[in-house]
Amino acid sequence: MKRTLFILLISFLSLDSIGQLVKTSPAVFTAEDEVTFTIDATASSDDRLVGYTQDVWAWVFISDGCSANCDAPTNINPAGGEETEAAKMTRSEDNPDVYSITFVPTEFLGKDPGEIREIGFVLKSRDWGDGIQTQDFTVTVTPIEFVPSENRTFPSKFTQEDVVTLFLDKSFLTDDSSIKNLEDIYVYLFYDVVRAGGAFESDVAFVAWPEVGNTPSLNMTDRGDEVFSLTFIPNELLGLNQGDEITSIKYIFRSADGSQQSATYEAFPLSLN
Amino acid sequence: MNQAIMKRIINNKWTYMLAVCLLIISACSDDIEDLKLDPAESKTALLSGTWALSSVVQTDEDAVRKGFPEFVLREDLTNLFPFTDLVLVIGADGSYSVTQGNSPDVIGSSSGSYTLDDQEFPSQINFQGGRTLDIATYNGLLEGILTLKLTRFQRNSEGEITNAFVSYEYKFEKQ
Repeated sequence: MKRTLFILLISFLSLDSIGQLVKTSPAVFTAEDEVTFTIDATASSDDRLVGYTQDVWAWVFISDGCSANCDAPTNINPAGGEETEAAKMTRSEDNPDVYSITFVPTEFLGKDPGEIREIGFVLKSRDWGDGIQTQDFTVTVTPIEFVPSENRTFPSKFTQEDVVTLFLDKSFLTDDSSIKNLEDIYVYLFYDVVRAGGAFESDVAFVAWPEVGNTPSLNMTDRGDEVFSLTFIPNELLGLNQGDEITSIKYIFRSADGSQQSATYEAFPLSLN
Repeated sequence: MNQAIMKRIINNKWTYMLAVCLLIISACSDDIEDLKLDPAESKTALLSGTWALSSVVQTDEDAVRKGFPEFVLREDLTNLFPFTDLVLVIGADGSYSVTQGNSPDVIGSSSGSYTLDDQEFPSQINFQGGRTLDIATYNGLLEGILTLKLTRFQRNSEGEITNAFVSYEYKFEKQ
């Protein structure tokens, strides 16, 4: 139960950061990963499911990336038989309007990962004829193939105990980027954390913005060919206490004096549990 | 045995072939004996000693599984942290100790006892109170190179181990 609550908590926190109405755990996932999707019926513009107490099913489909047969095999109406059992939502014990479901997208949708770029959800009662449902929700799926970009974390999945390298590849920056011509680059690091006692803290800075240029451990290494990197172990660099769990690491590439900076990027460590 | 029979045996080509085979088998068995290790102390004997950490390579196992390009699969961490400070002593008596210096934690504990999953052909060494590391290969062991590996796995909602997502290969040199 504690683990479930923690997963739900992480999911809620992730939602705020990525701005999707469906909360997912892990926050970023590919079509081959097992994912828990959590939907709050009160977030739906169609509120007919709010306060509903009977069984609820997910109507799941591929909303981007698929050309034909884009419905999940469980999309059968009315629901209730064996074929729809896997699409039955689990109602939260703490909030009866919150529902979750866990699956691996490729398995649940019966499609190759390349065909699943976005997943759509509608929560509904047993029969469409009941008129009890939510709006359509969509969730973006991270591509399975490598997509080069100006920022990258290595490894792509990590815990806060792992060695993590942040990469900046300036060759992908547009010419008008303020950091395009920087040779001495620093990283402003901040993070969200659930403290051992359960308290959530957002945007905790490793060092304050004015101090970044005076902090050697935040100075990126020039790897050549316009690639810069910063390697650290979150647990050690950020001085976390036993039991603290980082839910998000955010970073900005910037000049020593802070007058030039990139966009804000974000990475999501896997839970240690 | 009379002289005629002796002569036939000596002149028979099969006798020579048999003799050559016996000679080869005899020579090979000496070599096999050389390679054989006493089961009770075989790998333990090779593992025991003072080992200095000489290189650390991190692999993105998720990227490997997905067939990502080579340049995003591995990072050599050896010079990014003072890993080479670390010295591991594996005792023949089943004990171990770690002098970490400023190196990041590798073993998970500073001293204690260790166990092997198999005395003759171990694939894992469990540092009690610390981590369990894979013995990545026997190659190099006779020449004083010990290669240990830590692999982290994801778990699904049932708590079952699924895919590896990262690994670290630690190479030690015998002192």
